Amino acid sequence: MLMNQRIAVLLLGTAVLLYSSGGRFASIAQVSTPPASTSGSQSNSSTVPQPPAAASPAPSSVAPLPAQDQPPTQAQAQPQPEVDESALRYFAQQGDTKRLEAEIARLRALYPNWTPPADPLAVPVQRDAKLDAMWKLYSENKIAEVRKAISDRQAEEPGWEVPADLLDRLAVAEARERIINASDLKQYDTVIRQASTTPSLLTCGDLDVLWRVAEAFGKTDRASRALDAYRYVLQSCGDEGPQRLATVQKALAVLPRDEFNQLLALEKKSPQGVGEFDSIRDDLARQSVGKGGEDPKAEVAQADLDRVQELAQDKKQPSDALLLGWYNIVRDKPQDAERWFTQARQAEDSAQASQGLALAQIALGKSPDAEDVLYKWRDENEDTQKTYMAAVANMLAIVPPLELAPDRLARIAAEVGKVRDAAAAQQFGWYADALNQFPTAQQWFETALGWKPGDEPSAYGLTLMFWKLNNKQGVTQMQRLWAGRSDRIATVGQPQPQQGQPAQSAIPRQFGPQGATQQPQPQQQRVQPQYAPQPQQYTPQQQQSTGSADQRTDAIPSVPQRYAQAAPEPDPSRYGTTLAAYSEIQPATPAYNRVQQFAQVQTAPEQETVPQRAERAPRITADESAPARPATREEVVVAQNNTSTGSRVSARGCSNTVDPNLLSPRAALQRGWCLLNLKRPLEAGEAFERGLMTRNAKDKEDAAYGQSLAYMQAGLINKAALSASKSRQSQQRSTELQIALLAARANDAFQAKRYNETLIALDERSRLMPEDVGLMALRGYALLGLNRFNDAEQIFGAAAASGSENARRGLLLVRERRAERGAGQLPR
Amino acid sequence: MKAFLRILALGAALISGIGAAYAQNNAISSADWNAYKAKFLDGSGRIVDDANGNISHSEGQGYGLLLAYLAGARADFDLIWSFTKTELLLRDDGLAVWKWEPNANPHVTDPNNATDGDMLIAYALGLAGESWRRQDLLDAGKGIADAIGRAALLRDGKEVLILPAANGFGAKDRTDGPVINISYWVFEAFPVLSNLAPNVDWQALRSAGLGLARDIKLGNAQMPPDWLSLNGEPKPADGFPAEFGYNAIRIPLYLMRAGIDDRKTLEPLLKGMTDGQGNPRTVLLTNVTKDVLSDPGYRMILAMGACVLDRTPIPNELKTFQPTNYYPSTLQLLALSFVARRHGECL
Repeated sequence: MLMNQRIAVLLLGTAVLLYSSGGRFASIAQVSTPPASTSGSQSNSSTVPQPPAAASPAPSSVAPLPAQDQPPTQAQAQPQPEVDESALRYFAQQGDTKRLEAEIARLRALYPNWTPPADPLAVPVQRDAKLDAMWKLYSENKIAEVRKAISDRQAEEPGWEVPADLLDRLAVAEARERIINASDLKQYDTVIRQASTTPSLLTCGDLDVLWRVAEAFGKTDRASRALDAYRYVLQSCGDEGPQRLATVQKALAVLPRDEFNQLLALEKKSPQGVGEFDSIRDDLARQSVGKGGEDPKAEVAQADLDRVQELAQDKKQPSDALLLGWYNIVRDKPQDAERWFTQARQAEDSAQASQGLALAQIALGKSPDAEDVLYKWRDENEDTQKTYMAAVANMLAIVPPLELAPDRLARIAAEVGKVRDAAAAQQFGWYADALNQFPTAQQWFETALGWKPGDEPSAYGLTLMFWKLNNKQGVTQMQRLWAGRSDRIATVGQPQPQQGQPAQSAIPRQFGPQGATQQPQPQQQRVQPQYAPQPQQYTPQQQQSTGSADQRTDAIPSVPQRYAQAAPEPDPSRYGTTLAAYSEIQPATPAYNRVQQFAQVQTAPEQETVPQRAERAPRITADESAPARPATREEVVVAQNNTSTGSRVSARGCSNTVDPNLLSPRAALQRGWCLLNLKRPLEAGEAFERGLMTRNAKDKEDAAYGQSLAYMQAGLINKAALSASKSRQSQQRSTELQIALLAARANDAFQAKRYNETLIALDERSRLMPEDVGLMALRGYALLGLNRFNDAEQIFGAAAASGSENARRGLLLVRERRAERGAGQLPR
Repeated sequence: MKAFLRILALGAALISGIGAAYAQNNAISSADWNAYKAKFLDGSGRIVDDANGNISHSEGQGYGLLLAYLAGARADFDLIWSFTKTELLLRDDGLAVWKWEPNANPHVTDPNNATDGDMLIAYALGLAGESWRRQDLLDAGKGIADAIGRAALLRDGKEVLILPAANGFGAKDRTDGPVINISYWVFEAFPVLSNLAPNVDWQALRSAGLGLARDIKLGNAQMPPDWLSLNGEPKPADGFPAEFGYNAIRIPLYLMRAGIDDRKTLEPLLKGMTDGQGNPRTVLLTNVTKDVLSDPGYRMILAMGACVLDRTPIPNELKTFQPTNYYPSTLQLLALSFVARRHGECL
């Protein structure tokens, strides 16, 4: 028996080549067990005999696999039943050639010895109107209605026999519907079960079903069965090119590579030697590179890679360049990825190409370019949005902070607000911090925390800002909230254990442009804010409150700093507010902030420790896998005034560029205040200059005052002093300015290591106002710089007694420096 | 000992139920059936849920098959069955997908099942196959009944419960799982399903359902909710309204149709779903009436209860069937056909 089957299979193998259409793919019939029985489609099996051969493929039909499970071939043993050609006749009569051919194929498969009539129309038709109506319904694919019509007629005509062919056709049609519906629903077991009970459906006349069955095999880990089915189509279902190509394309999505290659081996070549599946080989290479772009570990044959590169270069299809871009990006080859994505994007600017390019640029440290590239596509989908935010976070994390145009910052802030991206908001915080915009930084950190309440880095940033802004209550509250959850939050503001850096800490670090770009330092410097006089009142309207008790702020009386619009009190209710709110709190014009930053008051290095932040900017996926943001830059707590914010002067009123000399003095004065609030002190100075031309004494006084403040903000101390003298100021203002100028001068001199000048300025200032402990410490460091250890020790001792940590550290430094120079050696 | 007797008694009930079930052929007049199918059965063989976006579902197909059987409408039965088989009976596990949307492509988008729909379909196939000697229907019914036993029951020790669907309601699927729906117990189906698939423990299923119908009394309403969590103490399932709603309203109907007519079981349910004016209602478990129901299909359930318990005649306006919406109209025909067969004295 086994022997016979082998022979049969060999013979069948030959037959396959000869077989053109109408064959049945019998492999299905071997599928394990019959269905649990959802197949009620063999209707009325108790009353209507099935065509004997229907369930058992005839041996001459195609059986690609050894047929050990196949039922005995009854058809051979039993007399051939009369073939019911009524459907055939009906379709011929209707001119329905498609169904006619399918019916011929079906009957051929069922009855191998049957020959279709040469002219189906010539066959005499016995008219049966009701039966014709049924066939009509059938041809309209109204299968359920045929069922109904049959039942109705059986009720009306008890003796009426349903043509077996009709029942068979209905069962097959229902089975086909089920296969297609189940296949659409990915119910592959159902597909295979149904196909196995309806083998007559598996003919070349219905490739869609064959393809679906093959897919069901492939999706249920039966690749060899799937291969059989596809191979059957290629070998048995005719030579039509499109159909063969479609079959291989279907198989491409289903078969593993090995099986697929076996299928490709059936390729035919044109007389010119062109393979019919050449395009498929391209697709295959694309598929392989595509998988390589999804999975960095996927192995991609060099030949595939080469083929796709050739295609990308020759055909310039963006899709090929994209494949190569992704392939390279997941393999950490951003440079190659950038090249391919750029090519893809040049061919067609798409979300995908832009996203890929942005990812490559982020990886290459070109996040500002990435932001620009992806801005247009940022809302396209979740991926572009995430990547855009990663680009934003990365560009904000760049050290030294980038100078970004106001409109660019505005659009970024708007996006961050729209997406509520906590990581990017956090980076905005650090960005503002780096520009010494602590209140702004504070708000961004608060915003980030509002969006992601458990975000420790943002909480740390917020705590740090509280500390820098001398908001002790804020620091304490944060430390309480985060107790046990963050060591670095817990130690904000606490002395750091000495780490043996006397040389570094002995000499105050320089600030200014060099200082701002220094490498990360482990120490933070800070001036202990104590109290201050009131030059922080900018606008004339605020004048009347000057000097009142509540105007005392813990500020260094030095260069008055303004913090754009961003200085309102922290307000948790701002979380989740509208877009407008976010743009309000964006760090203000950076270019000017840089100036301001460089003009920053510098005083002695207080070694209170601020734990280092080591935030990582989100990169690629905004998942904190980014390069560590070089955290420390020296930071200075400067005088700031939370209560008299610049919000009284609209920033909108001066964002343009106007020659102040074209304005009236009064308008120029207004513009000066506005510019000052925008941290554009040099322009403000020019505006006030115009303002000085007024004949109104009060306005002139204001203009001089404003100009002085502006130049102080710009770090131009001498010009500030000059401005202050341009108009007679009220005694109070005059003193204010004088005090502020002297403190600024002291700091300026200290930065320049002109310690004697520092002391002179401080002495002058102390005649106008008592020295606070912060300035006492500055004096101590100046003395130390002059190696006047005893004097330094004395002043540090006094300030330390008032609680200055900075001074306490100064005392330790004095001792260290003494030790370095040898005991008792006290050179002057 | 008592328990043993109870089991014996239930066994007798199950067996005696069979004959009654099969004998219901032609329990619905052709006029009523024609009115029903004119409104809810479309040409392709699907029952249209006209109050629910004209979708179809396995429950509706099951009801359609059952009503067609009860009306002796073989051709319509074949029509409905053909659609059911080709469009819904698609799942790998042999159960039917639950929802078919006329405007979706493909029409089926959610491959999950609804076990009461499966049960109704298998039940109707079993009835029709047996009565009309149709092996194809019996085979298909057995396939579904076996599949229910394999994929849609929840076994906990000796207790067997109906999972509302193969996916999504078990202890592992939801934090408050398992979640069940007492109205999925189509009690009258168990004898027939037992014939189709003798290896499934339908008897235990019936006992558990009866216990639930009798014992689950929650909130001020002292009524069972549509969706019940059995994770710990029985409680309304999360994410569903805590109410005796449109699902649960079928519980007394199913009980009565299965011949379970003891006052102790039925009366609390019937009273709980009646408002102060004697109208049927859905009710929050707080005992606040949610919807007062005026449709004759719902009123018929109360009337049937009064008939079964007290031999109260069915009001005239409920005796004649005029289709309204799919769901209440279906319930009305189920109730009317039962009263016609078993309680002719109330008509």
